Amino acid sequence: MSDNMIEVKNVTMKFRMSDEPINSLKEIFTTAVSGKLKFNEFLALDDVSFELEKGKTLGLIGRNGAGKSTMLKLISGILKPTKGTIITRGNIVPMLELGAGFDLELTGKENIYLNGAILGYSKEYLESKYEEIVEFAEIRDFIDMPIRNYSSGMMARLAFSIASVVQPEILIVDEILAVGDVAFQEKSFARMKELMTGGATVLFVSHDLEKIEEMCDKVIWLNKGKVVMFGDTDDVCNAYRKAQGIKE
Amino acid sequence: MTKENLKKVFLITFFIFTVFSVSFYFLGGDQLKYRNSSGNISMPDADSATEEIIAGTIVMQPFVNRVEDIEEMSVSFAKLYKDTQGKITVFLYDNEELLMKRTVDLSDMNETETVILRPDEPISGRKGHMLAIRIYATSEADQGVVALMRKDMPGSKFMFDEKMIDGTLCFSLTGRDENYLGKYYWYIVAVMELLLGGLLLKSYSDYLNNRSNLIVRAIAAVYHYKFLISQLVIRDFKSKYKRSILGVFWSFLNPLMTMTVQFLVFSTFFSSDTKNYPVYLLSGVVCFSFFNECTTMCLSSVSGNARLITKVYIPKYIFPLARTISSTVNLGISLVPLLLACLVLGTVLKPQAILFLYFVICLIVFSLGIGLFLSALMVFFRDIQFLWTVFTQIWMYATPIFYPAEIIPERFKFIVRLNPLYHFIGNARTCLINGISPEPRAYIFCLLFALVSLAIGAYTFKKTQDKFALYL
Repeated sequence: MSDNMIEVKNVTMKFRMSDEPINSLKEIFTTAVSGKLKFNEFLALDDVSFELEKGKTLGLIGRNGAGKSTMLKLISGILKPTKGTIITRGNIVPMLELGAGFDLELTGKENIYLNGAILGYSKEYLESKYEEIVEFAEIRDFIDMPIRNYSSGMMARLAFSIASVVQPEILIVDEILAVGDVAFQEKSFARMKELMTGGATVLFVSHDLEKIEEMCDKVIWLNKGKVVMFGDTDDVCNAYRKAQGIKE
Repeated sequence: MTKENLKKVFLITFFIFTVFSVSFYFLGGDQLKYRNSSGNISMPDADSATEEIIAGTIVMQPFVNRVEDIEEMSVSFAKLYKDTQGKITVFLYDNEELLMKRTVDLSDMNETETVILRPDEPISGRKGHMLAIRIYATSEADQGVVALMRKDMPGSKFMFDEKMIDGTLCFSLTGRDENYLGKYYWYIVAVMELLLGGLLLKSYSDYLNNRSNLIVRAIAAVYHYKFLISQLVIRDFKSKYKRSILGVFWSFLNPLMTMTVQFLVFSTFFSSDTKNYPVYLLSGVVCFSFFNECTTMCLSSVSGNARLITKVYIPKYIFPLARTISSTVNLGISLVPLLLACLVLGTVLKPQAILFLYFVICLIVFSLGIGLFLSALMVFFRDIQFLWTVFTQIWMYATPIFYPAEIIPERFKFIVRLNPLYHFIGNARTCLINGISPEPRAYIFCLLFALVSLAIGAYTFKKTQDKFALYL
């Protein structure tokens, strides 16, 4: 078996976008009858291939709409590619949007279990990490309160704490999630760094080139769905800076 | 999942199957061994009477018997308001062999009387034979004694005092046929045990050799996702009853209140024709509410969790599955008032009542299949949620829930027979209220309905699930 944790081969992703969203029978019917049912094809990724070895960190850079988030969603299994194959080995933890599974009616404690289950943790693991999560999120006094009463900062802290207790083999990060007040931001940044350097294979999207340079072993530069450059961090970042007209 | 887990699941499966097959043999009773004969002759509606029989007259009605075990025969007479003395004797012959006879004194007879003959032991081995009913009268005076009811029937003749007369006498013949499933029950069970054992062993060896196996994968998925499923089910319950004062108690109250309302409205129409109408009604209400709740909740399960599905990778079937399980828990809670009603209203729960769980399980699997189908469809066509509300209304009225199945006119019966819910609910009621097992065919039909629904639902879901994230 090869050492590659992620293998992406000739992946193409097309979205069919109708001019207006059509999602009812009546609309399908009327547009089909009137001959207006047309889809614009949008190529989000075009023949992208790369491999990532175990323990390495790969950065994805590119302008908005370059296909970075689509790539992350494809690798985490949320989307299936139109063409090509993606092979991943090991458990994947996507930190794309935190707290997606929160239920506002439930208490903080109940949400820790619900969200942990959604992220794929086992019951035993969550029980052993429960104290750590509550401690890290600094919400002990409010843990038995429905989270609809939480402030947005508390909710974000709780979500981050739940998501970051994992020991993933593949970690997928869409921007370093710095949430909460300054003190918590520092704490969460330290935790992220710990996770990303802790032996996991990491896929990391950021607009912050300095952080990319700090964390990544290799970088892919995407533009309009195509790979512009794939190589060592310094080379790709410098080329990207030049193209964007940013001074070093 | 470990090797031990898998072994445990397989052993338990095998054990449950064995226990079920053995106990079913004893619970199944006569319904397992026999069924109502397909060759039964029902009593025709008379349109006239014959001439009177005088002493010494012999009436003979030949017919071809299609019943394996004859249990009962009856013949209709009319006394024509004469105060006559005498006796009549009814015989059943197979050629010259007398099968049974009964003599009745005319003074014991009403104006119109159906004379019933029952053999001590069912008469068997006469299927396909030409049998004959003979009627003979004795009287002291040489006068008309009694007449027989007859009906015009093209191609049918009977003999009256050595004359051939068109039409048929009004008689009925009922009995039972042997059920081959019951006759070879232990062989069938043995074959099924062998098949099941083989399948489990094959799966186990596939697992040990790291070969892909559908059953092993399904069990592994259950182990892997059981915590998530349980959390989703708990969430459903908590958010459903949060901020309501009575909480879970509503799961008891809801079916009881629905039943009470329907009972007040419909009892004057239907309660006289139906045995134990409140229990009949409540069992129907509980089952249909489950179906309605489960499918409606599944319908929105994928589209309602759009945020999760587009942000985190979870197998998408988890959502309709979790909703089905929450509805099942709810069903379990509402079975409590049903059992209470049985006890309070004096339905004697026989051991056979437990068989009703089989039909409830079929109903659950059936609903899961429909739920998977609907949840997938809902992603692409949001109109389905409104259509489904109307459709369940129609389905409710098309299912005998608050009315007895017997009141449906014969020409519409086929609709009911095609309605899976009628079979699930009807058979569950037979077990619960009458305390007898339905005939084995009913078990197979219900299982087929459930599995076909699940197959269609799962197939549709699997085929379309990759596109969900694009449409949500």
